Amino acid sequence: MMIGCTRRGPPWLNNMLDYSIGEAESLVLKAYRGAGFSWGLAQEAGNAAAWMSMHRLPAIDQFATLLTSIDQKESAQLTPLVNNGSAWHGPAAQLCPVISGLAFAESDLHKLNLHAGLVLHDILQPLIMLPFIAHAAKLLKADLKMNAGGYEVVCGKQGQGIEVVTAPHDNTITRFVRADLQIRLASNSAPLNFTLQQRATANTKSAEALDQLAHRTYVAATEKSRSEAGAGFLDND
Amino acid sequence: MSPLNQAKTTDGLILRNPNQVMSLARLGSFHQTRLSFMRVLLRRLHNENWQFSRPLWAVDHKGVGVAVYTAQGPHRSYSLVAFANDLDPSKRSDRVIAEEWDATFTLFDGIPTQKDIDRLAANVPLQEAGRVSGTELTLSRANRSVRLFEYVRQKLASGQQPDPTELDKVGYLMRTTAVYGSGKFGASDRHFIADRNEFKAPFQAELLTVFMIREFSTNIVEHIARCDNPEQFVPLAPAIKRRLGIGNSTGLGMAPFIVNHPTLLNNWILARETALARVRAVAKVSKPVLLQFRSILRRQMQGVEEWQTEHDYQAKKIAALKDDLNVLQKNLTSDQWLNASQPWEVLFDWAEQTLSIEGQECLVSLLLELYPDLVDDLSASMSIDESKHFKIDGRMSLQQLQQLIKSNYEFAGSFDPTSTEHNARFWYASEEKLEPRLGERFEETGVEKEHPLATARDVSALAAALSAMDDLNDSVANLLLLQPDYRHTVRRVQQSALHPYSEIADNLIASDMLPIDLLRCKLSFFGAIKFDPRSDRWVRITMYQHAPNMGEVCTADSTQPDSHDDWVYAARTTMAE
Repeated sequence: MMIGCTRRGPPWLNNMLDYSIGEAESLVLKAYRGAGFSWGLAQEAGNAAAWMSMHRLPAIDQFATLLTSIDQKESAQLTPLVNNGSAWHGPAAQLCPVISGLAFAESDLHKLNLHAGLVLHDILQPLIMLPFIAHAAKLLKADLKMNAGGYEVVCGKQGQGIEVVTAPHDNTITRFVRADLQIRLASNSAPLNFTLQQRATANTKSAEALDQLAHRTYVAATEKSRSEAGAGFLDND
Repeated sequence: MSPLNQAKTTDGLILRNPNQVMSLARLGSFHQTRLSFMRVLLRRLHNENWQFSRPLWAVDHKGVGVAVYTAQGPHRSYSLVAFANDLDPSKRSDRVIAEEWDATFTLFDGIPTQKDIDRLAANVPLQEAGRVSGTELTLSRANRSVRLFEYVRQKLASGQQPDPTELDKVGYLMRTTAVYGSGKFGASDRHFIADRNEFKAPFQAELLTVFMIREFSTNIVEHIARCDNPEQFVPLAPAIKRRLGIGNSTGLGMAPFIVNHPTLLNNWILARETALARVRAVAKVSKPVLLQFRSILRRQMQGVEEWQTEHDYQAKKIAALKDDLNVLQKNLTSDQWLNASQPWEVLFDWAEQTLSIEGQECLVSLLLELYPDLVDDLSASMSIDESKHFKIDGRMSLQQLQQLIKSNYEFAGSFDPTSTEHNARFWYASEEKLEPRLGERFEETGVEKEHPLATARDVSALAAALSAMDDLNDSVANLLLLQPDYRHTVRRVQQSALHPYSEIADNLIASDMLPIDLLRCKLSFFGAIKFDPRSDRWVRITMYQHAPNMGEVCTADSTQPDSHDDWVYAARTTMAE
């Protein structure tokens, strides 16, 4: 029986593509870099994609949509103007969830009034904020709740585990292009039970989009680079 | 003194200065030690009484087919699934761009069914062009050392054992050209197996794979020889078989690993340095230990005699090492150092003044060998959950960041951004095989796609930016909001705070940087010997030579030389057994 060599996952994935978590991380890292952002931000994007995948969130699909809309944009245009007030905006009407997530998790969280809540306006692909909110929850040692587009998701204070409290009936969050997003302290709950997923999945179109962006980070081989890299072309010794 | 310049362990031992240890020239002189990962693996296989079997051997007279080897541990079993090929010699290349090999392998998590084997048969022989799944832990391939393989085949087919001196010239029948692990090409991520006792130390799944490939390499030569001449055929004698390790050919692809995993590198070096400090602090050297030291030194000298290379850089280092070991042997005859308090400390101080770097690092390995009780427990500290150190502390002040650079990046201070020599190279990924490569910045295209491996340059640029700022009370987070290009560098600098040995104290884009030094550092931690650079950018090595074979690892008598533990220092015989 010939079985093809493909990323195509098992039948129960409905023909979605199958990735190891490391592959998903690496693909998103390279694609984010290929879209013109710094290496350090690309590392953060890859790390976020791994976290999302382990939490059964469609990281590759989300990043494909995100990077299609912010490809080659200046980071500064996608960065929130951070303050200690109750709302963050960007210079343009769109914020990158990676940059905004970092801005939030790396800020002086205790100076923010998270009882009342912080609103980030015009966040692209709000699901990508979740790994950063989860990290902030761990730093604060308190559960945090994200509200966006009718979704309420709690990020546990242990930095891992999410609980979807409410969701719109049509499960539209994965298709969000942009939303205003609120983060606030959740009432203290028992630690969330969760099992980390060991594989990532994606639809073909998303994977192709990220592959194309990742491809920009490669340098075409030359005879010189081939001949110097290692070993011989024939090693019959 | 800064914390880095005088790293202390929790038990108060003073460790060697990271600026000294982490120079590329020194990292490129490391030898295997008791802490090397293949030695850790064999100790475990022995202590836990792992059982090996070969439940499937379906290989034809040309050596084509499939075999399965199973390792049964106390809680789990793992199976090497091997696909043997009759390779056209015109296709035999050790390069990553090869498309066919003499044999291909995967380590299966458990015991594969026929359905699993069918799936793997369609994918594993294709290597990077194929796909494995979460039930596979590694993906690997190997090519024959044609000359030695043919020689051994002919000897066995004619009823004779091969001459050990011929075996020692190469040391292996097959050499692996890649051993992919964690998550690669669809395999299981390390994250999900790292809590199994057998995989707690680094690279254990990969080295278990290689250990079983070594068995396959002797099985396949015996099989083909038997098919050639069933009447006269003799199998390899056990003592001869032990002489055959498994080779490896490694190029630039592996080089960036230790730069891309700074906290992991720290734990490897920290364990080794802590072990050295413990031995240097030993108050008195007993007579049996002294005798053991002399014995190991003598056997090390024999091993160095077998170490062959045509590469000028390594040949000079080996020549210096031979001189060093002779001088060391002579020095041992004096009682002066032996009667001092902390004799090894005195000997090591003498070595630092007298021996080449290659000789000093060889002495580290010899000293560690003497004290398993002081050393072996440190192997448990050589892994790390890197994700715990990934996040940047945005609340750190720029002043604190600047202080970390001053304390931990002395080597970056000598980087000159205007120097062509200091900026000569750039690291990138090749489109062809997505593998790391090293380009000439001022001669080749693609520099805009440079990978972030120029630590000395990048830290130097960050330090200059901080020096130009008026207010260093601001936070790292605010700097990175405005200057995201510094993010990867800030991450490294923050990681260095708790990881004194995380950075290679050299410029990795300098015109005179030798990638083989990066390769040797990593391979020494694997437990490789006989580093044989074939250029500045790739190296052949030998693994598991003289180690017990699969069937012997549990029965080996640990009180005897050549046991499961000190096989690296096996006594040599020159006559065919």
